Amino acid sequence: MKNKLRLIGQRLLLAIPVVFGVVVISFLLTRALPGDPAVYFAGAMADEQSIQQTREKMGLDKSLPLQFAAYIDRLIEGDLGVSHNTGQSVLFELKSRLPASLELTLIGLGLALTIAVPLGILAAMNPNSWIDHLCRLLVTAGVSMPIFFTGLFLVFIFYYLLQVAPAPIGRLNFLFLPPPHVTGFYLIDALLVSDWALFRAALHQIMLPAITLAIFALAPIARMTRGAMLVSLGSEYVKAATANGLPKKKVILIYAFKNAALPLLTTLGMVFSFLLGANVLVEKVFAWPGIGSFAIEALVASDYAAVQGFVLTMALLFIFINLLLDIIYTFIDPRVSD
Amino acid sequence: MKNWLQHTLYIFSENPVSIFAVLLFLFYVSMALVGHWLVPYDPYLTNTDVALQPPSVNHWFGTDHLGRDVLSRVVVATRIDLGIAFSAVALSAVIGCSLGSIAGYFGGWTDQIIGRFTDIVMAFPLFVLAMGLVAAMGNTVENIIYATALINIPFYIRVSRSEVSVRRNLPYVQAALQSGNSHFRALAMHIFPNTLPPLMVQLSLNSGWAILNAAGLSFIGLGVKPPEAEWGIMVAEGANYMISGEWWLVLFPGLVLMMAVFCFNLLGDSLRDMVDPLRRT
Repeated sequence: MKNKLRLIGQRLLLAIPVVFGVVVISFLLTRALPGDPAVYFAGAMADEQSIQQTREKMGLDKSLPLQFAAYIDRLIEGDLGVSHNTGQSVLFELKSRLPASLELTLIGLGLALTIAVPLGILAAMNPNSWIDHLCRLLVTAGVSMPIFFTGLFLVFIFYYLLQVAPAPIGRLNFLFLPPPHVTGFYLIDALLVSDWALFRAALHQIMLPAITLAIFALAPIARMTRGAMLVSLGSEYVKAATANGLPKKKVILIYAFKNAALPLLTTLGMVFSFLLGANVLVEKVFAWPGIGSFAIEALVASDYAAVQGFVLTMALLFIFINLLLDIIYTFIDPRVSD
Repeated sequence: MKNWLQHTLYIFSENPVSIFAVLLFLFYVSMALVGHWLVPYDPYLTNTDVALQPPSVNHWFGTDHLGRDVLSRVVVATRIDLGIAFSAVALSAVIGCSLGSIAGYFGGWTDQIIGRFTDIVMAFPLFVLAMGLVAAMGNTVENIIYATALINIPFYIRVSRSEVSVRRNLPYVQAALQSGNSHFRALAMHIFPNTLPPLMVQLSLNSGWAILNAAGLSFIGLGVKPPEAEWGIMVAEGANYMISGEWWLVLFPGLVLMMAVFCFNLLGDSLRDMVDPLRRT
């Protein structure tokens, strides 16, 4: 246990320079704006005076190191600037929209895992069977499908043709009001107040975008599960377990899969990188009011403070996820012990 | 030369899918090169009399809301889509391979610095970083290329770094150094050519991803501007018509985009089979 904690401590220390680097890049991004950054941050409607005010407020008249220090100062206070598009502070906007994005991403990822992991295991257990070919087909198609195309196609089939899915208009249709805010996840919040109609409505809305994300995330997970399982099924310890007459289920799940789960966990980090990007596109297709569609609106309106805040938040979120995955890895890796 | 041809033919006869991938690739490249002269209609000519017509004998892929021929627009878009992808991939391959080779060969602090750079770029969700870069540098096609190139650089650094570092102490490198070659010459002329096979695999898989990335950026309104014909924009413009049943506006550009990515992925897998039979899946 002590050993594991020490490893986790080392891992946390390693994250510090990366966080610093991300902050530097996001600072440089705001300074790379063509022309005068103050003009951009003051917004399209700004006059001479408010541009001057922005320049002084952001310290753009000072030297670069001083500006960076001021930038860090404001970051620590949680000040990401004001979104000119909505008139609210960027931090407020991101905070109120993040649950929508997280709910969608997590459900999509959950769906992908529940389909892809068993599929990968079955494919590895029966190489060159029909299920292996199905797995290969899904993997190849999954990495080639533009996610916005998949989403629109699902809308066409399930909304227009079959009329089983609701219109792609966000988290709830007009008949419902959002549940009282507790976690920000509509599904959980609706359950907390036992509002079943609301829960069903929210579930109805999230199905298609979540399936779209799942189709996208399916491919790398299934591919990795299959590969890792092939390696671990061919190993000596699995042969030994089989030779000792352990039940097949136990050999597969305990001996083989537990070891295959480690490389799978490492891949999940990469899957998240793609998933957070794909999320932006899915939110646009389904008018999902998350931070992705906030960023797109900001991009179109040249609302730079909002875009930079979005990029920084996503990067920090991603670093946090990777950290979490590494910590889980340390805990379940049997080779790391006292 | 004859030997090489025989070997290539042998590999193709082993794997018919590779032939398909190569033919598809040639088809896309020729569409990009001569597509402009082959299209039946002017891709930018609006004619509201025939707006939103489903596929027919006159318009194989139907017409869009301004009466433009979808087939002509899809074909003409090949040049800009492949152009963006190839330029971005070429740029990131050149920069990434140079940095990766230097890091792998010299090690030490160069390796440290280049490694940290890779870590920091990879700390961003890559598509999000591309969005931020385009927003900061300005919303133009060139900047889409630069942003796509930058987010791909880490992959090339990793591949060439590991390929170079396993080779740097091999006897043939020692021999090259002993006979008076400089380190840079040994790296560029003796080691680098040997790292090309795995790089080609990366290059091919990467091209597919670069096309997806560029199309995604233009789907959210970055880079290529309407009325320019480009697959991502065409899908975005058709998106509103999907819920009212005009499916051909999204389906055809989307399918052509998907087939292009599919083609590069197949090519990459076939190349991998050729250079690395052990990792065959």
